[in-house]
Amino acid sequence: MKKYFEISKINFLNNIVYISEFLLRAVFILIILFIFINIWKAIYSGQNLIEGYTLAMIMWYMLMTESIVVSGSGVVKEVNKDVQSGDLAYQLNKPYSYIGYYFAKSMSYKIISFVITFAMGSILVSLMMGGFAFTFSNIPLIIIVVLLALVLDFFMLLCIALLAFWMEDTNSIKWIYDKLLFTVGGMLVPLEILPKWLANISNYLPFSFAVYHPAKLFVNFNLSNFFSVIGFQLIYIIVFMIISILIYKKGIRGVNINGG
Amino acid sequence: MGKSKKEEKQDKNSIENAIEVRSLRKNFISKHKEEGFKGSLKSIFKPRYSDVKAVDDISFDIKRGELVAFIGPNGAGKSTTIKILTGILYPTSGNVRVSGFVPWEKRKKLAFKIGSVFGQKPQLWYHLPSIDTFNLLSKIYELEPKKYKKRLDYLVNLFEIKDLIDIPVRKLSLGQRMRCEIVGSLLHEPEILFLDEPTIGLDIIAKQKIRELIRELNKKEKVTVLLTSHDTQDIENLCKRIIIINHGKMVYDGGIDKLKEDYLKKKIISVKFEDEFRGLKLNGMRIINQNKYSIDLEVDTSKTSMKKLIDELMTKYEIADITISNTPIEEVIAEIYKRR
Amino acid sequence: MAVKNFFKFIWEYFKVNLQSAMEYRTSFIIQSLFMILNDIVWVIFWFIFFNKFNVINNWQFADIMVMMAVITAAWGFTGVFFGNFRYLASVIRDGQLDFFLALPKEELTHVLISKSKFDAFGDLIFGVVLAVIFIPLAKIPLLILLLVLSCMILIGFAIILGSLSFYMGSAVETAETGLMGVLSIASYPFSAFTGYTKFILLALIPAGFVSGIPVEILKNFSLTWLLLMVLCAVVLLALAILIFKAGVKRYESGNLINVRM
Repeated sequence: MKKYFEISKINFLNNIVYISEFLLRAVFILIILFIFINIWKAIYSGQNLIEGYTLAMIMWYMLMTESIVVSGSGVVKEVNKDVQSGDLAYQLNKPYSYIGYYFAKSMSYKIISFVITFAMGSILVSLMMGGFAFTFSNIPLIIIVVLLALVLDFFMLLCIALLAFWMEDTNSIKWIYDKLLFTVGGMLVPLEILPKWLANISNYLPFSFAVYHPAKLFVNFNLSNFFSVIGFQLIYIIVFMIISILIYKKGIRGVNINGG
Repeated sequence: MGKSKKEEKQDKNSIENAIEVRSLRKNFISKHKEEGFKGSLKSIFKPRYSDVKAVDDISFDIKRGELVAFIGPNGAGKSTTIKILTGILYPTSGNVRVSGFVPWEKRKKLAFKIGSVFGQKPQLWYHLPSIDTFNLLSKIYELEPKKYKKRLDYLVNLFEIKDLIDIPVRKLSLGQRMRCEIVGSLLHEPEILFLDEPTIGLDIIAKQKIRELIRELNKKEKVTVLLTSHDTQDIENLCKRIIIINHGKMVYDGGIDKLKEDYLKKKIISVKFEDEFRGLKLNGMRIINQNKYSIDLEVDTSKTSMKKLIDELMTKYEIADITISNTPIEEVIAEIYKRR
Repeated sequence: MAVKNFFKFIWEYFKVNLQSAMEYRTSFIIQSLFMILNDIVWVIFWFIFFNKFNVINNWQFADIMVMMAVITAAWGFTGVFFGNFRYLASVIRDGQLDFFLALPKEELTHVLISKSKFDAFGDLIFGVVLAVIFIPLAKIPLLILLLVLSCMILIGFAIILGSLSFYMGSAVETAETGLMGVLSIASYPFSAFTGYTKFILLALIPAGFVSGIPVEILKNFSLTWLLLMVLCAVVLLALAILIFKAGVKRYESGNLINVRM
């Protein structure tokens, strides 16, 4: 266990060097938030609540969803490269698990990315909304939900990335995943905006547990919801973790048989 | 407004000289960064700059049709000089004329007169057959279609790439690709050709082929060739004149043989004997290889003359065969790099 | 004559780029297709959004479809013919500019047209189809004029941002973020912006002219706004070219810390 922490730590320090990359990403999100503040203001003119969200709530919601989604770690690209270049063979010789390695590496990246984006974005949103649409005392619990969301996102991406054993270019699958997060994940608008039938299905799909549910808890905290969301997150994490391990094992067997 | 006698003479010289360089200097401003985190912080707030003399007072003339080797270790100022000659950089001071033009002032006009091949930066589009790049180049260089076709046929024959031009470049071997690259650089009939590492990565046969072709081209068309290469065989095979640059200064400008003579008095002698070799001791002599009936030795002719050595050998032994050769040019150049 | 040569140059390069695309037919088709699918997902999003909310200030679903037509066609057209516009910063940083400087053609144009993005074809096709559906035939000539101006503005932005590479490190990422920022503003209903924000997006960082104003002009023709758009396109592009040329002068001094010489 300790070695994974060390991997995380090294990557953490490594990542500080790429701070400009994180900052620029955060700036991009600021632009998106700025655009949507204007859009929602126009829609809210005259109204106070839409589907239970105030204007402020919806902006803080969006800040949370965007910060989670763009925390991306490039794991798909890197695994693709490993598999295709044959570097994978070298990785197998190392005394740690391939998946464990990427988990440690990605999580450190995602956490830093999330924190920077969220911090910069919250300055903008609090200024424009004139305050906070969440309760500070809930923060510790929210942190748990967000962390689990990042972990869930990682494992879903990992499954896609590992398909590189059989597919030349997993980018198209990743693209589909991105669109799913965008629509049924609730990235741009809360699921309540979608047609009822779609919202109902999306509520239970894994994508919403990486994006919509954490963000909703953030602006509209409810203890019983909290526990059910955590429950679902853990279940989906375990499911995708098992799937990724299975894909990995099958892929490795193929590498051994075919010589990569 | 007639030209002065001086201008006329200058013009005449310019027509004879493909490249004229006078007192060329190029300084770069280089940022100093101290080690460690504190150093990084310092360099943001109080950056320290130093002047790097990349080219430090170089002068030379290259006549039309010459085939000159232009060499120096990495960072010596070679590429900077070439960039100035092609007009990509302007100098700190000095005069340059290439094909009659001041390069950085008339870069586009000059571009029609020069061609360049960079061994490591290919010009041909990788995924397409060379003929497509050639056609594109003909448009870029505004070549008249009939003339272009004639020129293309001529070059394709000369460089023997007729069967290659319809194949995507990525499918060609390195040697084949290089021949196509050179053809591409010659379509517009440049007066001067800058060749940078043209044989890098090629096998012996391909290298020889390329050298042959460059020699032929230089002979037939009087194209001035400026060759940069780390392959000393390239230099020995192609160039009669060699310019060596080190630390921004010109360290040598002259013939290759003179270079060997001037800088290294050593010769290598291989001898085969009829009887067993029992040893030989002379001043400035070093045995490289020794077998029962043969020996390779190196002699410093400033310490023991060739005559003395041969006299000694013939007095003491029956000689079956003897070969005398010059020091490999690598060593000569390495000496020069070391010395200055 | 010079103008004719200019267009001929662009056309010749486009033909070569197209040949490259045909050489990699599958990749070309897949990338174009995915871009079209990407745009379709957006149409579905806007459909759901406008189904719920009906208007954003004075824009309705039809208006945003016109906006999408404009931005995808403009972005697509630029990507097809001037495909290197997004990568100017890295061309400069990687020293590739040397290659273009040593050739007899004007280097800025040469750099821009030397690449053609496969997925841009998808955007262009999508934009054209959307335009045919949502814009009446009579307004097509006006649309074409607006598209030309919009492309000029996009290229202007791209050149200015790319030229940052002459002056600073990390220019590649900054330029990318900046250009994506402009694209984003042009991908959402401009009607949402009012007051000072609208002013800034028209007078200072004229991203509003990329798709926002064209939609308004197509909705309700206004000569004033058309002339303003022409002014914006011309001034921005001229400024961009000046900044680039100044940057090249600096490049020729060899004193760029950022560039791999």
